Amino acid sequence: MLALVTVGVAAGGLGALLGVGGGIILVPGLILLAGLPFHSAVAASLVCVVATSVSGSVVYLRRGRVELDVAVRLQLFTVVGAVAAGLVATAIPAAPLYLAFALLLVVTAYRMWPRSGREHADAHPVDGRRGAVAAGASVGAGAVAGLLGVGGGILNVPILHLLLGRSFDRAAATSVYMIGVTAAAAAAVYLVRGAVEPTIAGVTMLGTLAGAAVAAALGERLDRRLLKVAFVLLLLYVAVRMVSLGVAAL
Amino acid sequence: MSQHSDSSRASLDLGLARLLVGCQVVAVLAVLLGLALARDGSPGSGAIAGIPLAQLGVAALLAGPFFALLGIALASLRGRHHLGWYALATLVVAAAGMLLAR
Repeated sequence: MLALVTVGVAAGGLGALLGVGGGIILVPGLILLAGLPFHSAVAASLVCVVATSVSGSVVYLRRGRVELDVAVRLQLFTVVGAVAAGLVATAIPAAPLYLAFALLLVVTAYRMWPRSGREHADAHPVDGRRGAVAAGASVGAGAVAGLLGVGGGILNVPILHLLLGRSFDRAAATSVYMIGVTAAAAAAVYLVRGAVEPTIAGVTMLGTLAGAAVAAALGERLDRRLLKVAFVLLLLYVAVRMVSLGVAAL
Repeated sequence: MSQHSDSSRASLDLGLARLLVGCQVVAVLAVLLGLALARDGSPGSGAIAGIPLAQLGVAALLAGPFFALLGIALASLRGRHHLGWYALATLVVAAAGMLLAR
């Protein structure tokens, strides 16, 4: 139980400080520290992702930062991907999923590395060719969520920011709202398949919420750049561990 | 007209936020109460009237985003915006997923 709370606090805290979904920390944490099997860890992570999404969404909705028009349109496609992936993931062995998760960790590490970015300012409507590409990419984001227990924000934000031209802040806020529905749809599939252990998910969720609250209290006192570099190194280490688990499970 | 639309939109945002907070509060309380009432050292054994509280908490949490979609669909029926069909279709896909998972 202590391991569950610890993983939850770490995921909630780092997620809030670095703007990543908790799933990228929760899934490997629950596997490596709490000893859960892959599917159980993914199921518990999805429940926690819903909790963190709800907490963030409430703040962003009250501030009017969620682009609901875009979010609700794209959510349909993320949920299609999440449900399909959830059905597939609960029916296949864990080995390829470990390897897929390791790949996701490396991609996330690359994206997290501190660098200066340019701001896109031209908002595009969700129709025509851009809309079709955004819908297809959203199915992919949902599939990543359903297969690997993350929110899919790693794809949502580029879709909203780079493809549809929303400002980064609005893209991040809209993505936070979208991942709640996506993760809830995938978690419901895992729940029906019996992969969600309510106590494990519930206790980890409490830790996640506590971690996010602590991170909010710490606020700007931490050096984000240093934190990002340390986090990237941690992600790469965990990716190696996940590859070794995946190879061992083959 | 635009002012009406903005105010309607702000009211929808606020309503969704309240709905999500409500579900999360129920979820957290249920899990905490479940832990407090746990017998025989097993944190999952906390229950009231035979209802396992940890399970209730997880269900309440997962229900939040779906209630929000339902709220958007209902607001659309009242003519406030045009997202209702997307929200309803999303709910149908999620429900179909649960049926297929059985």
